[in-house]
Amino acid sequence: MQNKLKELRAEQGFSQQKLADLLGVSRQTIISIEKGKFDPSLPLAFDLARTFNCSIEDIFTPDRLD
Amino acid sequence: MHNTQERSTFGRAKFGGSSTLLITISLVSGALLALLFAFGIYLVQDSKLPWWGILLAALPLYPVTAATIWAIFVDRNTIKGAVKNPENSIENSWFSKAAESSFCIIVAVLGIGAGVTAIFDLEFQTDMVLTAATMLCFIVFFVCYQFHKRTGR
Repeated sequence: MQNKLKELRAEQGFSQQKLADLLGVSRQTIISIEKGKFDPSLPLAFDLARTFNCSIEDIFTPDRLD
Repeated sequence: MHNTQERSTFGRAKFGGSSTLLITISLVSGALLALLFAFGIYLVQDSKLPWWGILLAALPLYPVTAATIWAIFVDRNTIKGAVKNPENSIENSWFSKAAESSFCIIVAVLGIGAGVTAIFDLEFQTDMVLTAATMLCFIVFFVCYQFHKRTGR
């Protein structure tokens, strides 16, 4: 899964630690999502969308769109 | 609910108080619990142990009982570095993957071990076999967790 988390985070001026604190997860979680190594759970994806005031689809794009 | 500034390494108890109070409760209760378990061992052993054997048996139990008491009473929101939603963190994913991997490895190892001991008619003491199996579980899980953490898979 590809994502725009790094760009959105930069736009908002959040550090990885700040975003992790807002979401209640570890900083390693944010790092791994940004690198595309970790697909977040649905509740976390909703929390991310709420944090950036957008939809989940605005952040995440499946590798394969049929 | 406590804020980030009030967090400490060992946190505070769910019922309030300082970090020192929680540590004291854990150490004292842990010592009493360890002595109780050791006394139980003494009784089961039909007093084959000398009285000071109770203290000796309590020693290895003490860290476990003290840590258990601490884990039961600590308010995790007061521990420095503890995240609010650990279930959504990647560490939880590594843990789950390590549990799956280690289950398969342990089943395979124990299955092969059982087969080998049956074929060659080997005999071991039950307590030693169970201790070895427990150690195997710990080691395999640790290695699997590190593998998933480092490879990100």
